[in-house]
Amino acid sequence: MNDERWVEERLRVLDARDDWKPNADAALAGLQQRDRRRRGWQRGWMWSMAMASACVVAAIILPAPAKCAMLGVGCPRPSAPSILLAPAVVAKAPAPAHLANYKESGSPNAPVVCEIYSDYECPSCAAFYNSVFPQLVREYVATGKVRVVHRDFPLPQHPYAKLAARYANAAGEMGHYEEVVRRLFASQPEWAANGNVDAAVALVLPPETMAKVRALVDSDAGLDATVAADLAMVARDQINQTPTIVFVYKGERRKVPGATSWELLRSYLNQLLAQ
Amino acid sequence: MLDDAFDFETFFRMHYERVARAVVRVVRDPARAEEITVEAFWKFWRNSKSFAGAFEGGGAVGWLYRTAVRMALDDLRRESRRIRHESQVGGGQAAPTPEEAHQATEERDRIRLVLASLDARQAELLLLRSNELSYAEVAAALELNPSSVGTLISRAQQAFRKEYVGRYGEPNYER
Repeated sequence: MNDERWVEERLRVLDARDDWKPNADAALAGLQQRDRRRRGWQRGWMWSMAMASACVVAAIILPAPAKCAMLGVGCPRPSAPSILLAPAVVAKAPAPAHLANYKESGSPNAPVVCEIYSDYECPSCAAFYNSVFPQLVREYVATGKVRVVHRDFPLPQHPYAKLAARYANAAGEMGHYEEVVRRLFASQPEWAANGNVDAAVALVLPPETMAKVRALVDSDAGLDATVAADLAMVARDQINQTPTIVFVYKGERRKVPGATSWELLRSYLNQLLAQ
Repeated sequence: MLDDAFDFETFFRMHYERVARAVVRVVRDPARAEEITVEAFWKFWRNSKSFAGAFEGGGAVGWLYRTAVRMALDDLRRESRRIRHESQVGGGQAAPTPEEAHQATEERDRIRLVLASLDARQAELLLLRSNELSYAEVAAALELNPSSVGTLISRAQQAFRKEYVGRYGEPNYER
């Protein structure tokens, strides 16, 4: 047996029992309590230092209490980032943006919605769509547990991302959104090298549909409206990278930036669905 | 940098169980594993300001796993030293019962002792890789050149096997 398999077999013995469930709620509560204590201590320390400084300055030059505010004494200082203050939710309200129906898939009654912000020219997005997304669809969307919403976030450093989004959305208008999205991500290295998005899309559409898609891409200003709606959501959700998934669950929007592995995504969805 | 909108709670909930499961492989006691995991998240939070481009290439996640595994290995080494010391000086403890003696030689303990005896970097490589981190993620976590990770993991595997077999012989597969 080679070393790799041999060692893997040994290390597998260390796996925790399946019925062992780490208590994330208790751990998070403990962490938040600790953060509160730290911030309380910091505030106390800063307050003491500020008071001491103020007394010294006041005693020397500015004895009038009214000047304290000018010195910054007693005024709230900009808060350090806090676990408690870092928003666990991006927003309470459901997504208001106009959305073309072809960008959504899954049951309208699904308890969880995954809004996926992506850029067709982003390699991490391609990796996500090529490897993780099909499993998400198979295990959660097809079973009615999750609804997926695609949101375009073409980044300025990617010269062909907007064009690719136009082709995908034009194909969406023709009822061929999913296969074009799949094709664009699967063949990203080729068309991103030369900008020939058209050739990539033409491989998965019938010629007559492709002709209509080309006409839309060339002349339909409405195609940009759906991208504009998504970009409004980019601002609202404070998205700063692709891919980013916003999980909408019980009216809350929680964002997870960066490429997410299937194991993590599944584990997180299972946690949400178990609540 | 993690911006103000960084959703720590979601990040925590996504990673906590997996990190805790990685840690419990190294330290025997599940309660201790959770303590170490929380400590790793605390460090993560305190250091989060320094994560420029944290999520590029899974940098933040890699940092978290590396820190947790490193803390777990430190804990394991301390525990191994304590046990060794107590066995040398007697420690006033009663002789182990046959059952305890049997448990002490269990496979898990053997593996942990071998991990504790390895070079720290090699043990980290093995544990991160066996927690299903990709070569790229392992490289990011340990700040290694991605092109050399495969070779380093292979060497760590050889070292582990050599140490294990040197101590205990080939395992009995018929058990």
